[in-house]
Amino acid sequence: MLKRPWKRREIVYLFFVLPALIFFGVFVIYPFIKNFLITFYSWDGLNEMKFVGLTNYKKALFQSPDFWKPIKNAAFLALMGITIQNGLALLLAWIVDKELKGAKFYRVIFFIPPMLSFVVIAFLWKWILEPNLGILNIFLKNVGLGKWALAWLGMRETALPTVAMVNIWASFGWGFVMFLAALQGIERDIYEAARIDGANHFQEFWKITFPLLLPIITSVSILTILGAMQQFDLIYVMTGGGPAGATEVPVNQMYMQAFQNGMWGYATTLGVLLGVILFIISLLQLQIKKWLVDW
Amino acid sequence: MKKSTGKFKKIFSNVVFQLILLVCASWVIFPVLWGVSTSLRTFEGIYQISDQVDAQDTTTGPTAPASTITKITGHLKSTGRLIRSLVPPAPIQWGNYKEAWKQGNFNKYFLNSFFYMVTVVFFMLLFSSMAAYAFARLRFPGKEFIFYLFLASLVMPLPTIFITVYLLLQNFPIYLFVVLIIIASLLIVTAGSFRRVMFLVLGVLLAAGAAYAFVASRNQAEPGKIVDLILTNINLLDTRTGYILPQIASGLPYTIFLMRSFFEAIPVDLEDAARIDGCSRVGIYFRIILPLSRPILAVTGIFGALSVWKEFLFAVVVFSDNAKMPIQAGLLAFQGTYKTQWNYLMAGVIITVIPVIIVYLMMQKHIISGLTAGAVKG
Repeated sequence: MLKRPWKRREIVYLFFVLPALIFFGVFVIYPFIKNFLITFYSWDGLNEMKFVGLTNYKKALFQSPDFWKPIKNAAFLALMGITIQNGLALLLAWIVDKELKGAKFYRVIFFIPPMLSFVVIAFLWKWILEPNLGILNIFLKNVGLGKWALAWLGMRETALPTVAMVNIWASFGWGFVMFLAALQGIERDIYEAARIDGANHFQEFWKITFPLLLPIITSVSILTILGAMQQFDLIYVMTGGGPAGATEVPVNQMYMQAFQNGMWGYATTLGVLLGVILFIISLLQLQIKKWLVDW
Repeated sequence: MKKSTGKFKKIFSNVVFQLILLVCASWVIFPVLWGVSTSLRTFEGIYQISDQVDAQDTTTGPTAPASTITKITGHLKSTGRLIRSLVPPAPIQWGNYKEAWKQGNFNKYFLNSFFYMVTVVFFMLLFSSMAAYAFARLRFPGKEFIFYLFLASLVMPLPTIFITVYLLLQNFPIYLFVVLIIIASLLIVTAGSFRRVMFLVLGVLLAAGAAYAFVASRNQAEPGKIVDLILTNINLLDTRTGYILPQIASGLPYTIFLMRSFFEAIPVDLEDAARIDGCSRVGIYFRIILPLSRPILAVTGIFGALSVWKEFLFAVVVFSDNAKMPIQAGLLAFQGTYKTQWNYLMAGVIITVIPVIIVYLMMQKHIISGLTAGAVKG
């Protein structure tokens, strides 16, 4: 590449990126670096910081469940997300794409939950799931399934799946819209040809639609995982991480360690470890995309 | 014969599809409708919901032997009653909304959220469109490096660093911020020429000295105090500024990427023509690029506004004073006062939902097309 000295005009062009760069440097890059540095200290947020080396990491990774348990819970949310949530989104997108009667109406309806905030969603569902007054349990008792009328958010066994269900309700609209857009980009002629060859709906789906959609399915799945790993609002309002830590997720745990337990060094360590996991997942996306292109 | 079975199959699958859509749509819409329904009941009314659903038909006694058919019809009837119970009983309590609005100080939260939305989106769009234009069109030193810096940020999301952002806001070194801007501006304006830098530094120092002398002559008592004041970190926690600044920063990378690919698609000829007519780069940016990029500004603006409206983590972390809270944190504070009064709580929830739904229904096409335009391509 030919290197020529910068013209004065070109250096002045730096003004275009400067505001963005300064904001970004101060509020993202600097905290990112500082976050990393604090992980080597023991600090209560008030008194002097004490250098402790890798103790925080050792504690988080090997000695206490503060890191792995929330990660496991978040992974459960992510797993439910990529299977049930994206499966449902794909199914609905596929049906709506057939342009049946009322398809437009359903398209509007299915994207309503992503418009709502997690706080609102948490309250709406908390009311439905209320053990005594909630409509779900009232309905279950009424149809003779009284033994299934549980304290959904109050029991360790049911709390996490229940939250996962609400998360699915809240987020499947994103995938739905993405899949629908991708489906509408597929040429109709391909379906026509398959129909003439006598393919039924399911063959059509598995042999044509699914392979063509694989790239977008990958993207949406990764976004689903990243979203689930960073979930906070829904958990904070619905269960606060309880009962007995059954729905604890990483960001929630960081918040607790810093603001309630006053262990700032430890909380930032959890943040760094979460960042590493998110980074690996993002790398995975690139790798999968490469495989798909090769294939 | 073959044709008619094909037709029958088609009708059958259509019915199945419609059924799936209907069930899922009910599942999606029910919580919202149930919230509306609850918000229109009295406090006693929410304890009578179970009676409303339980209401047994007089014809079928509880002792009747349950065959499969009666079971199914029974379930259908219960479902019917469930749907009917969506309609709140007679004296519909519109007053709940008035009460919730007043008690929850929702006008305050709405104003706050609106203010945050406007400021964050304005600065985010301004800064990111400038940067995106430079990345798309201009050649300048450090372009690649800065671009990859922004790219890397996509893997350091705010939820992993919010604790340090909190610490930064607590002790915000405003002077460092200013010094940084001054140094960067100096370097750029002088284009790296040493002589020009010296001149400008000298000028700035002289001006600062003169200003200090002027202020010192007025406050003879303790002129040193001013220096202390400037050098002290300020606490941005619980301030509107402290809530707005990080959000502008966090929205930048994604917006820059979307805009960059949009700007790259604008024909260069257009700009060349303007340059021949003697338009400067800045002139081109304001007169040609910005007007042309209205669609992408609208899309990123809508999404930026929506994410500010929904933002919760930072609101919880930054604010302890109710008066400055945005709507989501306000809703949580409101819940604190109405813990078990679900009718009021739901009224509050629905109040915050109504504007979003209205905006969504109005701009539904733009929102969805904007969302997918950014994602499907990538």
